Amino acid sequence: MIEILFVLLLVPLALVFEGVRRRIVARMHNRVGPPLMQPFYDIAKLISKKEFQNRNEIFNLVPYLALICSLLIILIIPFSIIGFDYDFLVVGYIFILQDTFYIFGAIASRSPFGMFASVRELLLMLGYEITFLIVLALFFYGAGATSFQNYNAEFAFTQLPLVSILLLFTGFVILRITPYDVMAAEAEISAGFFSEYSGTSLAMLELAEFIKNFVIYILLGFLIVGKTYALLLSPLFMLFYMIMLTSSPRYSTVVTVKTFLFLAALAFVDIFFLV
Amino acid sequence: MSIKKSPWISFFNAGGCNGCTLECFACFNPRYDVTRFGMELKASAKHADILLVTGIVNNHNKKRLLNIYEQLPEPKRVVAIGACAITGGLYKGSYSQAGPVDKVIPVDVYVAGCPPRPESIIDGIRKCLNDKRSR
Repeated sequence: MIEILFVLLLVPLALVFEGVRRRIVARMHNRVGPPLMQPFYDIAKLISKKEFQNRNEIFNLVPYLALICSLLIILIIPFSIIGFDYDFLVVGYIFILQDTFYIFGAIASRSPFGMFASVRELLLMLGYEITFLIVLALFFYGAGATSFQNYNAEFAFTQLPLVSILLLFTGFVILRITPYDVMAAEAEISAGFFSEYSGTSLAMLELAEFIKNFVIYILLGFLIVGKTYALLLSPLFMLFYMIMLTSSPRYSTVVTVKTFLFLAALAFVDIFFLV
Repeated sequence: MSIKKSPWISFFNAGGCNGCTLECFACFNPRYDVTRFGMELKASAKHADILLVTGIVNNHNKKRLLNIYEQLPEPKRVVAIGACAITGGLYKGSYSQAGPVDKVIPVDVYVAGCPPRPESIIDGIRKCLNDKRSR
């Protein structure tokens, strides 16, 4: 029980991480950027704001379900509090489940922007979720581990270079970073999934996103460079993704789906090399 | 925590020449960088705290402006930007206008100019945040 409370301290850390991320993006734009504590102010303000009533139960439930998904992942990934055999597959499924909740919420909101976002996300799911699960399984197969508790491979990218690159590519979609961020394209479809949410619901969704992004950076460090350096090197992965975010254009949905179907095929081929 | 620390901003051009809107966008560029006050540009009005309205309200856009104003969650502020939004400006007396912005929705701060400079727009936004009233 004490361990769970200890892990919940990672939530403020995720918010600070988001603040640092915004500062880095601002420096790359040659701006000053918001204060480091800005995500805390945002969340506090959104909770204090009045919320619009919506009679659709699914629409109202989705933010809390998404937050629960993020908190479940944080219990498994950095310190493996509730580790069990084959929990890496469960982690992959929780990421898919969270995106599915977003799709439900966006469709229930009846907003055309939400509809666009959910259709694009459904198309992208064809490609990247298969790749993500295969890549996760390959890392664990390469290390001979069955769960995050006994994953002991260090510098796995030397043995699995192709798989590491595939993991970085799926990171683009899960983090919604520019080459493949069609489902959250701010300029075209306002905020995508979140455009109809306001007040506390939006705060929950933002919190879920911050925690999920933080966990993804840790997961990349965990798999690619090993358990001991995971927390230390996660800012380095963030820096890589922020360079991509500020310097690359947005690909169309069709190109993105094609790329990820190709990557899924590559991952399948990679299995045979390992076996 | 009030909206003072993180005011999120949304724009609406109710029917002007788009000059004021471009000056509003200029507030977000590296030169004027309003994100250092915690401001963020939000496309959806349901996320925003402050609505910046530019241009005179024409008959076509009156319904839309009211709709967007109702979509802003409380507490909310409205800033009218530019000569057209305050008095009608160049378009005053036109056959298709529904009046300046304060004839349609309540306005907190007026920023004068044709178009106003980004510095004065930022000043207007900061002033409407210091407003003690809670509407």
